Amino acid sequence: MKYADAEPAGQPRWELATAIVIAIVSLTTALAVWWTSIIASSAADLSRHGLIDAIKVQAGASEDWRKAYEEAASAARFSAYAAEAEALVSSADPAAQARGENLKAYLLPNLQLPAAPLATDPVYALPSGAYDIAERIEDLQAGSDLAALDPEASFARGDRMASQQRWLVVGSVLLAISLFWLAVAQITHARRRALTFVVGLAFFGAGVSWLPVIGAVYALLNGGAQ
Amino acid sequence: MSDPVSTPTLRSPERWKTAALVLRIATTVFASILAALQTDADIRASTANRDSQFLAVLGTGELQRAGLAANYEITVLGELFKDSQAGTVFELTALEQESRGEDRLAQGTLVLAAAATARAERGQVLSILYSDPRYAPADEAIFPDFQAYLDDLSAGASSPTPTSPC
Repeated sequence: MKYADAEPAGQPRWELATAIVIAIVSLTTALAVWWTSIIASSAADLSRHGLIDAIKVQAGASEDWRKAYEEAASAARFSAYAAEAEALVSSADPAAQARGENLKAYLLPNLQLPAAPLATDPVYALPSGAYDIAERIEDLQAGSDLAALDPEASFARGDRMASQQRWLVVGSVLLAISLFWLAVAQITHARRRALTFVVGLAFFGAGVSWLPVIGAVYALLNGGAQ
Repeated sequence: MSDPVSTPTLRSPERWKTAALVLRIATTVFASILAALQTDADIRASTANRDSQFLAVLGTGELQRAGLAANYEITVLGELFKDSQAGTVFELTALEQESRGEDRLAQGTLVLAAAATARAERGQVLSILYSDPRYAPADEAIFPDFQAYLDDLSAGASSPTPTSPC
């Protein structure tokens, strides 16, 4: 009773007010952590999406290369037989000439089919007589939907989300510090209580202001609201 | 109204309680700061992990494409050697046939030699190992610098970029 008598008259009201503010700060902290968690999840999703896109791009590129080199192998076979046919036709032996003409008439068109368009389109013909395989690969990739995927753009967005996550956690720390001072206010008395309460409120205000500022900054950086 | 004797006995446990509460709250604050640092470390670890996976995907793709390119070049080179040697063998055969007085047979064999040589010469045009000065046989050398070609392929695969040609 003597201890209770020593307490100021407004003590219960202070305790109630502090408890309510602590509850609000706790709720705000929970919401901030929830938001941070959503941002972290989005960042992880973007990274995963980027990796999937990277695998698709590489698979598409490898398929384009495989197709180009398959055509190149057929084109090399066609070209070698074309050279043989020319050599036979230009020989003095009539039988060889006939064989050369038959090669040109019946074999070369069939050999040319799997080599198309590398062996048929003049765009891929080099002055040396070789085929421009690199150009063919570029054309294949230009026509590929997979080549248009940009995994690094997903990574960049994921990195920005991760950066936002970092700064949101700073806001949560400010709220935790606010909780600390408010809890101290709960157990102190008189002027010290008022001081710690104000400090707690100041940290709460800083934390609450910090979170939307970070959200707005990163919404602008990402080119729209998150 | 106050009791000077009873006050210390009441306040001493209160002070301990207060100290314990402050320590608990301080621990919470330190834990939140630690969690923030842990979050930062997690983000860095995730980013490094993702980058390593990305580079592995790129490297795998480069290796696969280097394999396709090397397979083509080796096939063309093999055909080239085969045709070149066939041409030489046919020419030697024609010489033997001429020495035996089999001139008509020798003419036919020379046509075969010409055909094989024409294929081999076309193969040289198609092969990067003969058309590219970096690998083409120097001076009197017969064989191209295949090791230099493989080294260049490996260099492309070990420093991958999304669209770097081998």
